[in-house]
Formats: sequence, structure tokens, C-alpha cells
Amino acid sequence: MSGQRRSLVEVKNLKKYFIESPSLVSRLIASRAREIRAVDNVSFHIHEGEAFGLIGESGSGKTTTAKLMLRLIEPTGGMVLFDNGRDITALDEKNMRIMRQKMQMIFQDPYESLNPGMRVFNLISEPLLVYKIAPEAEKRRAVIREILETIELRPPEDFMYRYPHELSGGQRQRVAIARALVLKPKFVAADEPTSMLDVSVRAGILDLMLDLKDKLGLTYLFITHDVALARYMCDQIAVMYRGKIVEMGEAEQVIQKPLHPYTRALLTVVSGLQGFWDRIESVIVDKPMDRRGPYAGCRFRFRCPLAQEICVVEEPPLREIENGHFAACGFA
Amino acid sequence: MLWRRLQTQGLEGDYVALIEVRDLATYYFTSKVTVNAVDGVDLEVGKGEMLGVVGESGSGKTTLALSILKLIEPPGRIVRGQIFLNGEDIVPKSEDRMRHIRWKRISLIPQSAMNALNPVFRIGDQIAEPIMEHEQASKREARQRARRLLELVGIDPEREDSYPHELSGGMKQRAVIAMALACGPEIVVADEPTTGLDVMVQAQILGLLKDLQRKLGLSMIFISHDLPIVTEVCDKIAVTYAGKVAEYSDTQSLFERPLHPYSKGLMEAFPSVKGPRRKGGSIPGSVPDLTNPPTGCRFHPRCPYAFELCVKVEPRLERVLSRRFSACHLEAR
Amino acid sequence: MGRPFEPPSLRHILGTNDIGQDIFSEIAYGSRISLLIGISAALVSVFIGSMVGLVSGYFGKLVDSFLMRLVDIILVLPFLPLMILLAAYLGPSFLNVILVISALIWARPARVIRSQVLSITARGYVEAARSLGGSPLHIIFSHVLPGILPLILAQLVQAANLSILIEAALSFLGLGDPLEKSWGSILYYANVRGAFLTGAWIWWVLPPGLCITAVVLGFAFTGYALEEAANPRLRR
Repeated sequence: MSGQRRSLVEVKNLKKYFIESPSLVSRLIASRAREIRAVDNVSFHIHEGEAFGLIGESGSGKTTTAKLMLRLIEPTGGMVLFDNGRDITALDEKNMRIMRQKMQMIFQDPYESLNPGMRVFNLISEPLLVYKIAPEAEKRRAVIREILETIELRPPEDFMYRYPHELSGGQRQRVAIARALVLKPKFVAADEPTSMLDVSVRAGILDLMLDLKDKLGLTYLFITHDVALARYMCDQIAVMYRGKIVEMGEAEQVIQKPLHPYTRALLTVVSGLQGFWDRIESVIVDKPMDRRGPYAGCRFRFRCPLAQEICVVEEPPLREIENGHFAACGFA
Repeated sequence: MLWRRLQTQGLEGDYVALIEVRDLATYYFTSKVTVNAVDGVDLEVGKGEMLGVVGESGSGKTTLALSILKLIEPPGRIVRGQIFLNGEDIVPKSEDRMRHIRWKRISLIPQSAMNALNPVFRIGDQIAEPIMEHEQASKREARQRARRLLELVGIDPEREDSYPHELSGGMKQRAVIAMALACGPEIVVADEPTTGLDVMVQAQILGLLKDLQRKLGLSMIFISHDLPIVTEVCDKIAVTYAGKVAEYSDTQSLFERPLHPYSKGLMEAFPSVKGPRRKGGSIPGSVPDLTNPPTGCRFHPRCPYAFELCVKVEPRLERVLSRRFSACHLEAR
Repeated sequence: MGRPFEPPSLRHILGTNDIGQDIFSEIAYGSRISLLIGISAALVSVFIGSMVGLVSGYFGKLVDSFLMRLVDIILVLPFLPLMILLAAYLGPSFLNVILVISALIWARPARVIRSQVLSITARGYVEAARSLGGSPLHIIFSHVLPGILPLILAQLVQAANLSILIEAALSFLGLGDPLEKSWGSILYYANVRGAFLTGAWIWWVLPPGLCITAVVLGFAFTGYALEEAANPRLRR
């Protein structure tokens, strides 16, 4: 199915390495600066109209990848091609800002992403003003009224002049969604949009997002640590571990038939099988760091129950095991 | 009275209620409003049992945890109810007496426990501290016991001299668990012990807690908003909403057939990796304002089954089946 | 005009100075100058300080390093000698006094504003504004400026306070504008013309001193109150 739709976003060999900014003293003492490979040679594409999930725990590089894709941080290497293959990593500031209209982000924390001193009307006006859309207040009010209806904050007049602290968490996140959508973008990256909301409110937001995807023809990048959530929201998923993609494919396939030991471990843990704790050792181990460092061989070898000699020496490439289902493991 | 009710039902085996909470209410009195954080809660935990207390924000679960340990500070106050620890009501006890009870008989793993570790002291010392204080042990003895505790929770005792920042999130959590167990309590109250940890680490900590329950015959009150993990490790679950208990039953039954509409909604709100992909489980509206809770049943504004009685009369927690209790007018019909 | 060194009476409420001028009217006119200099210097210095703080905090890196080193130098140099040096070098005039004061006190507001700018730019809503496509100018006007405005106000009051004191000190040392009578210069003349040798100091030195003290205290308390109100913790 995905083969028929065109690729909207392509990530090619994306890298982001952080150097621990050494002070003068530590530069003199340490023999070499510590490099953190947050995102290390990541490649994938997202088709138009698709919901692509990036799954991983903390330190996996999933949020960094999203920010790189929207160029909120500059990549150390690789490129991001958007909409007809334009390399957005090569654009200058001015053109990048124009491009941003098409690619928006919904942040994790609805309490932080909205300026507490601004009312809903001004918050949603902000993107419009930045792009000089509907500069007259009256026209803007109409646009805002419409979008408030879309995100189900009814009646719109009631919500338009409220401050963020007068809204619940779920309502704030809806406003954040409105801000992202008012520019009619093509691509929306959502970074754990419900993890800071109450459980009973989450499904509402997620259903809204799914609904809007169909209604407005959006393409999503959905970032989460929750495999079950990814299954709920996404068509395609990629599992990340320590900066690399370890498994990728159609959501249902990856989840029902995980190939990589890390994915298997993740799924064992969330499957809701009582007594899994007794079998924890069989899916995840804890080996100490060795001299060759964390970036030699397979990243997962320190926690993999199947790790062998070859895993220390060779980094397994991400290869297609079955139709559209990729895994980076020699034993998949 | 829960305990009596259970007793007369003839539960087999020795059901020894270690902690029994009856009609507990804790309110916060601020100059402007009064927040009825916990407003009439009944529950109990048996010896060697793990009780899960599930609730979202505003359910009162943290206040409940602190109330049981009598750690509520002004402007909060326990306004009514009883907390029986081995048959003895601790609510009227003085702070002095409580100091003897806390940590020795009942201890707490607070929320964001990993951040509760003092960054300037070594973990060995931090675990030894309650031992020295509550049991008048010497530093050497206490340190020795601390080492054994570290082993018990799965940390290499060699690391007793590490500082908290040298430990991973999971290890810090283990250290905090060791601290809670330092004086050998009968029951531990854990407030969101795995929240904020990675999936894998969560599983390991849950495994550890379950292990400790078995090994030490430890009782536990496990407080969390995460219903799936609570169903994994707990024997009984109390689902709380807006300061009250909505449903109280053994885990298996709750999992198979939740009685209260809120429990049902909550179960459906968690997507799963098995079974149908999309169930559509959001509960409309949001958690009520505790300074001005809805009349009658607190859940009625969001309940798909609400009828006139629900708006007027607050349902009491009633026994529905032999080991299941629900606070809903539906069951009474 | 009355007789020299007249003690307070109904005609001259605070008596007269060495050449028979009414001290009360001197103080009344002097207040104009003291306050004018104080407020002008405050406006100039806080404006400079805020600009520096804003640019430094928002753009960071080299610009920040450079500007903050400048700020450090000013803060480290001994205040009194610097003040005297500058005033003596520039020469005594109304405008120069304002210049000297501003040059001395712009550094602290710069640091304070920079801190606040740093904390604002680290907030989630600034990152959100960037992702929306906001240019630095947009972010500065929509988010940073509204965020630092209360703090600027508080800094203005504190700067005015300091300015009045410095002006008084300068004038007392005779480095102020000899043509304009300010409270400080009243004290200068009092000192130089032997007020302390006679009993005249009671009505010649005390009143201007008390006025300075009162104004300084008043500004100080207002400044504290404003700073509290500007405290973002109280937002909500």
C-alpha cells in the first residue's frame, strides 16, 4: 500500500553527534573529547498520508531525529529531503522559514509550549502573523473560530480569550494542535503528545489527530516510547536504540512478529503477561561496558541475550528480512 | 466496614488485614478554598499482599499515600476516618509515636524517588541513615546492613560508596527501595515507583518488587496512574476517582470484567499490543475540580450510563460480588 | 535673602546658609535637579543595560562572551575612584554627570536582564515559536520583551535610586555642575563653608541629608515591591 503513495519526507544517513563541550581545563586533562552519537546514520522515508512511528526509550535519539527533520537542530551529517526531494538541510535561514509553514511540530509538554501570558486568540494568531496570513483581526478571528471548532473546543467564543492556565491539559494540547494546523501544513511531527496528559484524556486527543489526518490529508511522524500507542496511531514504525534504527516495517507486522532482540524484549515487557518478570533475564541482560566503547559493533550487544563475538566486531546493517520488514541483527 | 464484611463472607485462609483504612478523609484548607483531596476512602491490605491504587491526577492517590503515613502537613489535615495498622488506629497517634512507627513498620517510596536522593551523600550512607536513626545502630552495623540491602535490591554492594549521580535511573530507584526497606517494615507504600523510568527498567523494578513481596512476605500499596502495570503485579486493585474509591476488587476479576463505568473507561483508554487495534476508549470531559466536585456521583458528568439518581445521590462502595466492591448505582439496580 | 547662618525661623524655615540664602528654597529647587538627574541617568543606563542584556542573552556565543567580559570589567573596577576619575576628566556639567552615572551603573541591569533573557529563551514556548517559523525579531518582540518588561521597570527604579546617591556624592565632592543646585551641592557648600564649625550644620546639613535618605529609601522599597511583582514565580 505504501508503495503507491509518493514519499513526502526522506531522511538519508542522518547524523547528530554531540561533543560534550569541554572547558579549558578538561580539554587539557582528557585525552579526547567525549562524543555522543545521538543519531547515527538513520535513513527512512515517510509516504504522503502515512503515520510513521518512531519508537524508543530515552537516549534512543527519537526526539533528536524529529528535531533534525524539522531543522530545529542542525545535523552533523546526512540530509532531509522534503516534498519533491528538496534538501532542507541545505536551505538558508530565510528559505527554511518559508519551508516551516509546511512542516510543523506538536510538543510533548502542553504546559510549556504555550506562553502563559498569551490568550488562546493570540496563541493561534501567532503562526498566522508570522506568515502574514489574515493580518486583519476580524479575518483572523474567523479563522481561529473555525479551527477551534475543528479541535473540538466548543463553543469557540468561550475559549478564545482564555489564558493557558484556564485550560485543562487536554485543552492546552488541543490548542497546540490548532497552532500547528492553522498553517495547513503537509507534515506534522508529534513528540509524545499525550504522555503528559491524564490517561482518560489521551484517547480523545489521539482520535482527534487520526481524524484530522484523514480530513486534512496530513502526514505524521509520531514519536513515542509506548509501543501500544504506536500500534494505535501508526501505519509504519521504526524502532530506535541508541541512535540507530534496529527494526522497521509495517506497524502490525513489527509488533506481532518482532525480529530484533530489542523489539522482542520491548514487546515481551508490554504484552501484559503476568509473570513476565521471571522471564526478564531471558529477554534483557546487563553487561558492563568494555574497552572498545559503546559504538563498536552492535549498539545493543550490552543488553542482548543473543550477543556473540561477531556482535562486538561488526555492526549489523539494517536489511530487509521480509517484504518491507527490516531488522539490524545478524540473527533475525 | 470492609473487614467485617469480608470476614462474614468466610474468605478462606488467614486473612490478616495488615492495614485497614476506613472512611479516610483528608482535606487541604487554603485561604480561598478547601480541597477535598481524599473524601471517604475504604481499603485494606493483607499480609503479603500487594494492593494497587489506581487514579489519575486529582484522584487523591498521593494524598492517600501520605495520609497513611501521617505525613500530611498543614494546610492539609486528616479530618475523619481511621487507619488501622495491625488493628491499632494510628490516626490519633502523636507525631512522636508516629516516628517510631514510620520506617520500622510502614515506610514510603515517594514520587520521583530518584530525585529524593541527596546528591551530596553516598548511597551507602543514605541507606544506613534510617537504620542508625530508628534502631540506634552503630555506623558500622548500619553500613553492613546497607550492603546487604543493596544486594537484596540487585545493586552490587561494591557500589555502596557511589554518589547518586553516578547511578542510572533504575539503580537510583533500587537504592530508594533499599532505603524504604532499611528497617524491615511490614508494609511499604510506593507512590508511582516506576513512573519516569524506561520501559525495560520499569519491568525490572516491577520484577524486583514482586520478588521482594515473595521473599520477604512484604505487603505493599502500589500507587500509580498506569493501570496495565498495576494489573501485572498487584493482587487487588482500588480504582480511585476524585478522592473516592470507585471500584475495589481482585485484579483478575477487574481485568476481565470491570464493574464501574470509570474502571471500564480506564481499561479501554490504554491501547494494547494484543487484541483489537482500536477500541475507542476516551472518557469525555476532564477530571473534576476538587474544590467544587459534582453533586451525587462524582463521575456522573462523564459517565455514559448516568441517570437521574446519579446526579442527586452519591453511591456508596457496596459489595457486589464476594470479593468485589463498586460505588455505582447501576449495580444496585 | 537673610542674614548668614541664621537659625530656622518663621521667615526662613530651615534657616540660611553662609551667604544668607534660604536653605528651604535651596532644597526645594535642588530636588528638581537631583530627581531629574537621577531619573535621566536611570533611563539611559537601564536602556543600555537592557539592550546589552538582550543581545547577549539572545544571540549568545562570541557576542555574549565579549559583552559579558565588558560587564565584568566594569563591575570589578573600584567604584569610587572610577567615578571621581570620570567626573574629573569629563568636567563639571549637567550632562556629564548623567553620563558618568550611566557609564557606571549600566552593568548590573545588563547582567540581570541577560539572565532573564536566557531563562525565557530556554522555555518551551520559544522553541515552539521557532518551529512555527518565527524569526529572531518576532521572538524577541512577542516573547522576550514582554517577559523582561516587568524586570526592566524594577531595574529602572533601582537605577534611579543609585543615580541619586551617586549624584549627591559627586556634587558633594564638588565634581558636579556648579551652576545647578542639587542636594549634593548644598552639602558641598555646607562642608566647604564651615557648617560643621558652627551649630549651623543642624539646619544646613541634616535636611538635605534626610531628603536624600528619604528618597533613596522610598525608591528602594518601591524597587523591592516591583521586583517581587516581576518575579515570574508569581505569574499565574
